[in-house]
Amino acid sequence: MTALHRLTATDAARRIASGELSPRSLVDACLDRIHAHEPVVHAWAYLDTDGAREQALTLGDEAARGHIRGPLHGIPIGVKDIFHVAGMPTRAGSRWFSEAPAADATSVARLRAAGAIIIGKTHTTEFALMDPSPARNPWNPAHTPGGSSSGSAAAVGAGMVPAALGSQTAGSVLRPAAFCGVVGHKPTWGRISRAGVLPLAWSLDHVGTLTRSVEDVALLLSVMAGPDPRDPTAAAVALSASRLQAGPARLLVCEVYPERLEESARGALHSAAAQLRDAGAAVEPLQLPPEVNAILDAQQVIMSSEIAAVHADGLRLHAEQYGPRLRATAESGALIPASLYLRAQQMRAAIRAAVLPSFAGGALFLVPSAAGPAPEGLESTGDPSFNTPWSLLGFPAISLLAGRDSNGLPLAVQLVAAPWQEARLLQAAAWCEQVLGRADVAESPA
Amino acid sequence: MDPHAAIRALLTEQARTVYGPERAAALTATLDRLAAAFARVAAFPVALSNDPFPTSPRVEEEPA
Repeated sequence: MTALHRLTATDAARRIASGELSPRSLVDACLDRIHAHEPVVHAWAYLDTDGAREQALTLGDEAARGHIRGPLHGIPIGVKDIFHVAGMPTRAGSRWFSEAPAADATSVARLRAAGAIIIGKTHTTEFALMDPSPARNPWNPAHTPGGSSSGSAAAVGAGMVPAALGSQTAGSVLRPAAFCGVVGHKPTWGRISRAGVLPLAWSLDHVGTLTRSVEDVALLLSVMAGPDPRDPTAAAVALSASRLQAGPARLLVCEVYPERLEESARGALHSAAAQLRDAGAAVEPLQLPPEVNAILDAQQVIMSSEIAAVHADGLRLHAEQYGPRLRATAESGALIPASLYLRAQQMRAAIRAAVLPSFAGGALFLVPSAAGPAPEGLESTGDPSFNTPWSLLGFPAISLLAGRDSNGLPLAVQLVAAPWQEARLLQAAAWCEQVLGRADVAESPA
Repeated sequence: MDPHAAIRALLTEQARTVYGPERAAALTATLDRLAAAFARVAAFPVALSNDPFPTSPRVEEEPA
């Protein structure tokens, strides 16, 4: 029988709904796992141990009476510490910022309404940029877990929770997912409300998930997606991804930035493409349009400008308490003329228009998730370049485990779909996961 | 002077004025990277458009 800390959210929810598993047993297993490995992994900024146990008892009583609140009834979930969770502080990895929110972020409220137990807040890089958090990689704590959703990826990879929330502005969900060997997903920009999530750069920020299966991605997405009066950018576009029918897809393979790609990641990409082709996928090379070469420039201008605006007051009052990367980004971003920011936004529309025809016929992109495995050291969270294009363009993307390097560190590939095509993306991803292998728990982080 | 160098000089001068020489010196590497992106964004051809909201992915966009 599968150990409780290895269960996916979907499997655990099925067992709870059938009476085979109690929420209290599951929460206790997660807390045991946290207490055993947190001294090494440092995934958590805040834990609500008593609250989680109390909620688990309540949900267990309800389940015993046949009342299931929703598809996440009794499932423990971690939340990145830039999301507001009522009753828990929001500190955002900052030395000066702390809020005690009275209300949940919309995404968190929807998880709770579906029966989830918010077990605590996971470490983030400072305000979700690049100044590292204390979190470490569960596969080798001398390596970064990536960022900015560092603690969420580390916690899921270490088997502390089956799922966690993250956010992505450049590469903050898919990169840590790749480094920690878990499944990272960020949907189309506008798919999930950002209300109650601290902004980093408004026009780029996405809510995403870290899990150990594609099926769990679909489950969480189905619960959180949809319009929200608190976030006018959250769209009412139909989603049909809650029930997955895994199937092969037409995959277009591209290294995107070959000059940045390490040999291990290049090998993982082409090995994955070959395995998927042998298993029945139509695999073809992708030639991206030349406009793609401007993506990192446009992203830098937009992101720096918006960060400067978001942190203008914070910097004026607390400059010395900011980390060096965020402070430098905000200070330099404040020097960008408005006309250049608007030009970069216009570029974004032009690049989207140039790339969209490549998805014709329902094709998906198969590209690297990261330049290589998790870099050694904790001073940097790694290069987000391979995720940045899909954040800038707002396309849905998912990172899947695709092997390990010679040191046992995870390697990953990324699937990308046209906007609002999450159902197609997740169906293909579920099939790829069957071929390439499931994400697993780092059993003994040490 | 090439555009990158010219923009870097402009940004550095601005940084000295706004933040002082010590912070401007601390920003040297960041400003150099930003100046390179600045120059390339400024040179990217963008068609004139009456689109009132070109600034972010369109939530009303229909699936491809």
